[in-house]
Amino acid sequence: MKKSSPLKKGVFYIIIFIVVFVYLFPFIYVILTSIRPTDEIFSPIFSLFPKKIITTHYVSAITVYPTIKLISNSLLVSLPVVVFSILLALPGGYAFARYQFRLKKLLFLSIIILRFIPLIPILIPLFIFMDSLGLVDTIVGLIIAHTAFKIPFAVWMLKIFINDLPKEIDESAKIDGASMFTILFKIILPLVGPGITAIAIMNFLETWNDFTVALILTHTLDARTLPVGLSQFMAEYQIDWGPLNAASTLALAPLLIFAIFAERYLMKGLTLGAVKG
Amino acid sequence: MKSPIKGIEGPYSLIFFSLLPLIIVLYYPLLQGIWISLTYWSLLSNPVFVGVNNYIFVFSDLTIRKVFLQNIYFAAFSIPGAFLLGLGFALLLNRNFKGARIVRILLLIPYMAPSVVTGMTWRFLLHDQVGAINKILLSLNLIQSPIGWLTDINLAFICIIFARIWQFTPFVTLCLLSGLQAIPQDKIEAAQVDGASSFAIFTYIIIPFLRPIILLIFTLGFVDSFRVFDIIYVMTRGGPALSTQILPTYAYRLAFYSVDFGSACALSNVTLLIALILLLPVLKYLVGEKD
Repeated sequence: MKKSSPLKKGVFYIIIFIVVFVYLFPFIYVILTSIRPTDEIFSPIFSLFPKKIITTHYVSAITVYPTIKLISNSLLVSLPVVVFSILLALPGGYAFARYQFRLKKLLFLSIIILRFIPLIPILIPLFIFMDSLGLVDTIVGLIIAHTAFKIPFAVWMLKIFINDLPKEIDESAKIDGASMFTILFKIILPLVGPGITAIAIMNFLETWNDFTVALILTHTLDARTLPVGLSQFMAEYQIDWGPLNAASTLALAPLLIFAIFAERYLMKGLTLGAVKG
Repeated sequence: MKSPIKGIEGPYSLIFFSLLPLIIVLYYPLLQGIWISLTYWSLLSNPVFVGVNNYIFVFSDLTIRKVFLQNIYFAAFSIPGAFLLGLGFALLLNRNFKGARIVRILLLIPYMAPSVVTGMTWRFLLHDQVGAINKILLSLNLIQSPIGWLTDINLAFICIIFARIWQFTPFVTLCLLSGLQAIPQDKIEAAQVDGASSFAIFTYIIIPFLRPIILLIFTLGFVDSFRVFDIIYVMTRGGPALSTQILPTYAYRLAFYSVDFGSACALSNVTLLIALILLLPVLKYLVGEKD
């Protein structure tokens, strides 16, 4: 802001605070409800801050509901997906960044279009396909499906990041007789490190957040992930709001942690992801 | 550029590594979905070939027509709503103030939150007994008795749109913010020197500059409206009385509740076709970057 009076500045910050508070109120309220006594949740009188802070909702989210199992399933799916999607996307991203060839635009389109089209036309037959392979309701099945869904974004981002690297690096490596494997994984991969971090965070969050894929490809606690588990909390007639809000807060935790400790990378992934696709 | 043809050096073999998983896991099911859409199949017996019967059903069924219209309204209200709110946020964030980075990341949180949590949150806030919205309205004496936001056949759809606006706004903010930051500052300064009002600068410099991004936001927003599933599934399951069903949720219902995989695939293939047609204007933008 240019030179402005302290009063104007103060008003501006008050407006900012109100905007952020009102917009984020739903999540603020969920987080505060996760530590609010049950009788206050059911009280007809509104209060933002709990009069007493309790942790029992987290305890019952873990002991009464299978939250730990759901979280570990979510991590067992999300972490491999991050690794596999980037490794499988690297050759494609490199080819699109470094080569000119006849089918380039068509092939690129055939990859990135998958990021925009509706999921249901793929997921319903994919359920039948996975079922025929015995992969429904398995962690492996979810990893395979999610890896495929995350490759297009990774190819796109890697193409952009590799474009920014000077060509001389890999050309001189080629002249020295380095294999394509060496160039991709020992030279290019370390150089696009910060970009990889941004892709990894985005792919992790999108897998962690996913509901539709896991809803269709899982039936039981064997492979059910946290978001699907959360929706099951509500399936019962009487919803247990306290533990549900505690589990929701846990589901929000990775995003909040990235927002605090990796703001730069999250922002980079988000901006490129939104503007480039 | 001379490159050895043999081995995995060529671009096609490199792309093959990235494309193969997509062909097996995504494109093969898509094709299988076309075949399934031409059959009657309840998973219990073998699929029976029925030609285009399922498509005739999709185009003639009155419920599907209603669901299709709801999907259009859903897009037509939520995207402009999110656009206006996102524009406000972007203009606010475009000012250089201390703490702008923190505010920026905070305003983006709803976009990257698990949509199940978003749906659950709104279901909780809008709950007739424990929901904060009713509690606030009652304490302000704006209403006399609790409102069943998500159980009322008319209100539920409005609530769904509202939740979607809340969720989609940060995407608009992100796009517009990067557009605003790309506007050459000297143009705005020159106009200011010439005595142009802020409103004139906004209408004659900023908006024309942002036009391609605005087109992109509306196109991708409309396409995305045919992908929304989670928040509706969690908030209302498409009810009450189908009043919040849109095409993806209804296709899911046909497949996994009615166990009519043929019709479900036919409906979702039509949805896919709609999305592809809507995407046509931005395809060039999507692939047409300089290399």
